[in-house]
Amino acid sequence: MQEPVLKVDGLSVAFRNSLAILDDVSLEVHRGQTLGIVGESGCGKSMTALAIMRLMPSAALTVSGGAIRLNGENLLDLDDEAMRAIRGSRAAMIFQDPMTSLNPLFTVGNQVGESIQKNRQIGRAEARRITADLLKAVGLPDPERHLDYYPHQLSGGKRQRVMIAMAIAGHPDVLIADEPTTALDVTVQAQIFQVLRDMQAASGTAIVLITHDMGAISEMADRVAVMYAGRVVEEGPADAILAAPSHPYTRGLVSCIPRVSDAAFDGWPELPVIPGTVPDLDQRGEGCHFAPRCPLADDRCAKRRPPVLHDGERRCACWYGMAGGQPHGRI
Amino acid sequence: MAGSETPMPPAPPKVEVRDLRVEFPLRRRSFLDRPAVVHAVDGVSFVIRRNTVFGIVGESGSGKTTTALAIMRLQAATGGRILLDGADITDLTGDALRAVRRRMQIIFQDPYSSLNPRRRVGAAVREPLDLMGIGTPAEREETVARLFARVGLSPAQRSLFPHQFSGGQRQRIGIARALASQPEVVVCDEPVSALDVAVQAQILNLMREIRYDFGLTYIFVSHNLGVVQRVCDEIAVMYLGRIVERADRNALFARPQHPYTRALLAAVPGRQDTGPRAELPGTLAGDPPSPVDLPPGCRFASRCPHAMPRCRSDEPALQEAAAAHFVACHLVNP
Repeated sequence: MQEPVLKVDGLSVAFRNSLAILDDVSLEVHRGQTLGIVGESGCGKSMTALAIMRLMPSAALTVSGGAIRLNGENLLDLDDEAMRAIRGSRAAMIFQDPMTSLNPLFTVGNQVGESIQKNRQIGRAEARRITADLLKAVGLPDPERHLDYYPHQLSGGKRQRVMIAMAIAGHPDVLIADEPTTALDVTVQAQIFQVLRDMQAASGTAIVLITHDMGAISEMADRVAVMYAGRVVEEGPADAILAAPSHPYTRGLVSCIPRVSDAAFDGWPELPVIPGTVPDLDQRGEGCHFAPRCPLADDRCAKRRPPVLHDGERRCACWYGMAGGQPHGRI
Repeated sequence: MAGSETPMPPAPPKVEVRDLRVEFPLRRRSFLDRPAVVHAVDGVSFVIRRNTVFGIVGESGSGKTTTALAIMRLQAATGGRILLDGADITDLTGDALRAVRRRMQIIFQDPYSSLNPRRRVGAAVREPLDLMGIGTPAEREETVARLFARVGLSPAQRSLFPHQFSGGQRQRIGIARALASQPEVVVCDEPVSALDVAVQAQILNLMREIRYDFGLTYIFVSHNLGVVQRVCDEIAVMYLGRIVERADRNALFARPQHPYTRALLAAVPGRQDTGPRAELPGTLAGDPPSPVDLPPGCRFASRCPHAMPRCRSDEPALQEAAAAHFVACHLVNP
């Protein structure tokens, strides 16, 4: 198999050099493929994305170990200037709320054009032409007219299309999408997913899709990584994991989110739940972070870090092993 | 129980809405302009039976929240009638209106913005009791403590402030406050949309329990179709201020008839039972038109894959297309 475009290898990020926000996170995504990252808030999904882009939101956060390899090159070795050159060209990111990422004072044509000119030696007219092509590629009707619009004149779906246009302007090898459709209506979400897929089919861009929506994962992702309290607890092919999750956390996550079903319902059925909440940074012990909420947990789970078990293309960090996607007795 | 397939005598109507309209005038840019009006809710009618859950679904701007607020008399209706237990409450004022409001409460999407950050949460839950003068101060305090325990909080937490709670706990406080005045109807406006995924199911289970315990009738406003499918007995689908389809939830999900409902269901990613990465069938193009200058005919015609010439001239009426299944579409009701 060819080398992954992006390979995150044992990445750890610490808060004030002591508390681990990310703890030995390993992920990879190949050309033309989509990796989904799921988990509740506070599990480290967005932190992983920001760490990859080297956009730490605070100076108190530092990378304490590991490597981030983009086409083999460790981004952690680069100086700020080299990293700036990579952002927007070889690695790009889109966020949940496009309004806060777009400058309200500049037109769409100006902003997207600027990001093109930053990476290529071309004039403004040429940049404007390329921008129009990009807007067309992301499905904005009448792209010429939209060039002269300001962000506030666009609907949420159109703003997100502009963000995608800006992100793919530099033909990135990897595109990180952090909850790109959470703020959008479901029919618009479907349009954005279609745009991302079309873009990926045309350019082979690897996508990292961060979401809390299992439906979005099953729709979009080839592989999925489930994160809990800063660690990857399960990872593997999305279909296989959604059909038969191994880790108790994944199983809880898959079952507690009601998805549209073909079944008929009567009354208001009780929903399966994961009790409790994600532990705060300073409440995470030595053992499995999920142990306090886990129906299977015992003394060992609380005290000792679970081993990472491999089964074919899947891996799972749990003391209760994995067999055919179902945990069995102790190993 | 409504929603089951076995025929049972239907529960009596709790809430009736007849041809409800809510219009917002827009400010004119110049005195020469024609006064523009947003038709947020434009002729909506339905009956909600006692102890059932009535779902209103639709995308932003469909008028689903405005409809619910108008029923509660928190938003002035510009036309139509609202009946509670058969009594017309549309024009009530003063004490009579206050008495009716006590019987209808609301759970908001974001409990943080609906709680005063400087007020202890116990006082926030007690407030409806204070305002309505229910019981002695000691009795009210006891009621609040009981409500806290009922929604899964410790009565001792009454003396804390909103920021000391997680999102899920704040929604529990919002539910306790809604229950304080012993309402009969509770509007749930996107009650779990702002919550973390694992907390959503916890809150929905709590809402389920109190619904049965307190004998509530719910009006459940949501865009989350997976949730709506599980909790609602009957569902109305709104598009640009009108109901385009209304049916029992199982009929709606199994046999959606209006092209908009079909598109909405098709757009939901990763249905539980279909295979992964299924091709998106008939992704709906474009955004809804502006509710200010609505085109004549069917409001959905501009995005509808089946639109006929008639759809652009005649507005379709909501008609019974199958037993208790109402659809506003020329294609379905020729």
